[in-house]
Amino acid sequence: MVSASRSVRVTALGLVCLAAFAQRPEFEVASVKVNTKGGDIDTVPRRSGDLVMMHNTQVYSMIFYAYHLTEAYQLAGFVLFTPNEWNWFDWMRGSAATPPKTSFV
Amino acid sequence: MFQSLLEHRFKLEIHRETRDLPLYELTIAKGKSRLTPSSDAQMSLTVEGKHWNQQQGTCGVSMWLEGAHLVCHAASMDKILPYIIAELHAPLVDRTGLTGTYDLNVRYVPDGAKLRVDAEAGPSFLQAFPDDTGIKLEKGKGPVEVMTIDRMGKPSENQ
Repeated sequence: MVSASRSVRVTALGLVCLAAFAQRPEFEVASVKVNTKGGDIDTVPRRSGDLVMMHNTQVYSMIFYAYHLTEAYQLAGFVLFTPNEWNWFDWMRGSAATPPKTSFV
Repeated sequence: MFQSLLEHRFKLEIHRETRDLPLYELTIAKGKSRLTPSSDAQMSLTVEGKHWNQQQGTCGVSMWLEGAHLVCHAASMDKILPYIIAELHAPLVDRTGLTGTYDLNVRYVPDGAKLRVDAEAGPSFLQAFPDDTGIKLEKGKGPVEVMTIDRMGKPSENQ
């Protein structure tokens, strides 16, 4: 009888933990910001959990990555933004348990 | 994952179309390929004192003082073609009719490497590949699928 009661308590505790874990908030992240800090240029994405980031990356390069292009002849109609500072961005996409810091440095 | 970000924030609109573009046509020179049909044996290579085995069904490019090596072991043309495209930066059309799997080891001096003062004299990829494989690379023109940007603007602010 005692052991059955303990078993019920353990199961209940387990369910509470499971519920807490299942309800953990997830933040959908879709961030693109003009890069103002410089730093290394990412040519491949960095991953942190479900977040994917590319730092100091041109729009042109991002289009290539996003659409799986490999050679310049595969893309037509691209026009550079002016001024040039508008071509370099910090990108972040995915989901995170907490709102991510936007700084890459 | 980043496609939706480009489409929502940059208002990127694209379409795919086929254009007539300059390309390279691959044909077999004098009707006979010099590619080595692959066997089950390992492909072992030694370059500048370093030794490695090329994995079956793969290709790879490595850079050396003497130039670059494009090495393929038991690779079909489907596996080999992307490496040729990467070197020529141009589309290809394969008219060789080759259906087997092949071993190859092509040494060439990449265009960028020729800028070095102490660069090794050697053939370009356009010279070395036909010489070693018997596959001609001829300039032509033909239909190529491209992705065309119809519209794109500066991104909207993060929300």
